Amino acid sequence: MKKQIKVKDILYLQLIVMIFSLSSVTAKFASGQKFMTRGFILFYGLEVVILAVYALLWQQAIKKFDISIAYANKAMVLLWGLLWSVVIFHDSITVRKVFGVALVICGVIILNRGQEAGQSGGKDAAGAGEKEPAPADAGGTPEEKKEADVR
Amino acid sequence: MTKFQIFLLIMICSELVASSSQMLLKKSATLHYSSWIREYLNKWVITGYFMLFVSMLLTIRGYAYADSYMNVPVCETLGYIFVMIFGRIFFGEKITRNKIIGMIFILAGILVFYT
Repeated sequence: MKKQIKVKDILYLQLIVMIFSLSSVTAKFASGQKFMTRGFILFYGLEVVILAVYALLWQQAIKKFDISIAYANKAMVLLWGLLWSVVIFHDSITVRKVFGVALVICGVIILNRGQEAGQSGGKDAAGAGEKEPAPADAGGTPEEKKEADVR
Repeated sequence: MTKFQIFLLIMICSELVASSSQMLLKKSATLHYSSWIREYLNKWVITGYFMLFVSMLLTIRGYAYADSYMNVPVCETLGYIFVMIFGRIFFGEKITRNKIIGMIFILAGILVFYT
């Protein structure tokens, strides 16, 4: 497969998901506060900061993925949500929840293998790069082909 | 309307707005920009994040109607389905077998987790 998603890119995406998961923790705190009180503004403000960082990173990540795949990777929020709910909200951890998270992890792994070659960016840099060597030389040297694949 | 129905309605709206915003963000990500800052300061991304902001407000409202902190992420699975459909419509992203199987596992996992 020419454009199998790289492990590095998936890890980067997972880091973003972890950061994103923190926003729902602050949202939960914000919802417990009266509208426009100091606590509301504090937690809501914190959520905005977290989402801003997430936004900057996300925009870079989706260059490399189908949007459907990148977005579904956010299901890993379940893993982080379980962690935060235990650590911060002192919810109980159950076999069911662990099994649910395991299913989601399997699902995300399978889904990440579902990106078709040449599908990721539509007309982005990767798509354009692939076409470059072709007109220069019908066959293209092995080096040229490799370079296109890397991009 | 019951409290739960209001909650569902708020979350469906929130996820529709959020999914649509992803399409604008992806659109921007397929374009070339002269500078780093232009990747963010363009009509697609600004509109996209404004919509995400609206979705966030809706979700915060949703929490107020949720019986549990856990109910909100369950409803967010709707977004994965919306994005997959919208991705097919707007970017021709094929809905491959792996995507469908992966999605079934993800939805099953989330249901097992929360029920």
